Amino acid sequence: MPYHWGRFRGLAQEMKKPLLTELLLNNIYFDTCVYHQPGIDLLTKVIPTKNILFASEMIGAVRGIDPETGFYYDDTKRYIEASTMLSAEARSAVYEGNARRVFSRLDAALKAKGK
Amino acid sequence: MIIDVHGHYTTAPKALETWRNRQIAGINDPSARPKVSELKISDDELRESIETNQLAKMRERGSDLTIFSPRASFMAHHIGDLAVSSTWASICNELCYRVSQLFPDSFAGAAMLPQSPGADPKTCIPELERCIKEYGFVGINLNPDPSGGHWTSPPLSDRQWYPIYEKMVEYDIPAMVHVSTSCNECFHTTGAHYLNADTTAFMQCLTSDLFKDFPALKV
Repeated sequence: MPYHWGRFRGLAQEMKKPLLTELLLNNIYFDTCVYHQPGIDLLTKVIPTKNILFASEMIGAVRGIDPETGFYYDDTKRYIEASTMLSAEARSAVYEGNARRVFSRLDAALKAKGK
Repeated sequence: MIIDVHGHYTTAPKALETWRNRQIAGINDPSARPKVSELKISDDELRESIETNQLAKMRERGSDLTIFSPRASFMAHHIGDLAVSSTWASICNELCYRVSQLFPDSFAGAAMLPQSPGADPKTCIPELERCIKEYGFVGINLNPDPSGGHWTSPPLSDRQWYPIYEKMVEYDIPAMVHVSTSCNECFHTTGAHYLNADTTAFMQCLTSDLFKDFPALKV
């Protein structure tokens, strides 16, 4: 999706739609099941931090080890850690804050446990 | 705290798959259909399947909690009819619930819905409500293409889907848009169908008034 963000913006404009930030980004969230560093870098560059949720889908679609890095493709936390696009604050939002906002029932359950 | 919002129970004990295969074999022969009670998986088996897999990796990689739903490719909503899907969803959701009870600090459940090609999406609501109210699940997975790669359902912006959105807003739960196995040989399941579906759903949202109608919807 981030790779073609310009196309989506341009199409929305032709349809006389509001900007994507207003049209979609109060409702749509993107997870980080993207299995290489350049993909995560692009995601974090194009999509606002508030719309990104940490995820790995581990032991899922891609279970092998990347010979270029020596680590599992689905170990997505490594890419988040290595991202030069994310500040410490943004990283924390991706890891926790955004998920607690989107999954409000989880947030409530965690708060009830004092977390 | 690090929350992984996308985990599936891909490592469930073999008995689950065996039961499902019997269920599929019984589609045309109701007398061959297994009973739900014939599926027996102990807490120890569940514990082992998680501790040696997802939980081991969470500890190794340093994440704390995973939002955990049934194995996506096994949802296979295209198989059988609504009754088959309903029984299967109920079994799979219950297993995720049991995992969330065995490891309450590490897993929170998200539900698969008993979707079936041609079935009205509102038929999913009883299972959705059961999972939220009884199991304490925190989200749902919504398959925009229950046909498994043939796209026979209306777009997500169609009013047919609205009863699900109304419940999502009522309970303040998000849906992860997630297709299942492709039975269209043009689309590889995880390499093409999963990715196509993301683009398809995104454009359905872009071209429609879905979020005007449901400003609080989260997908």
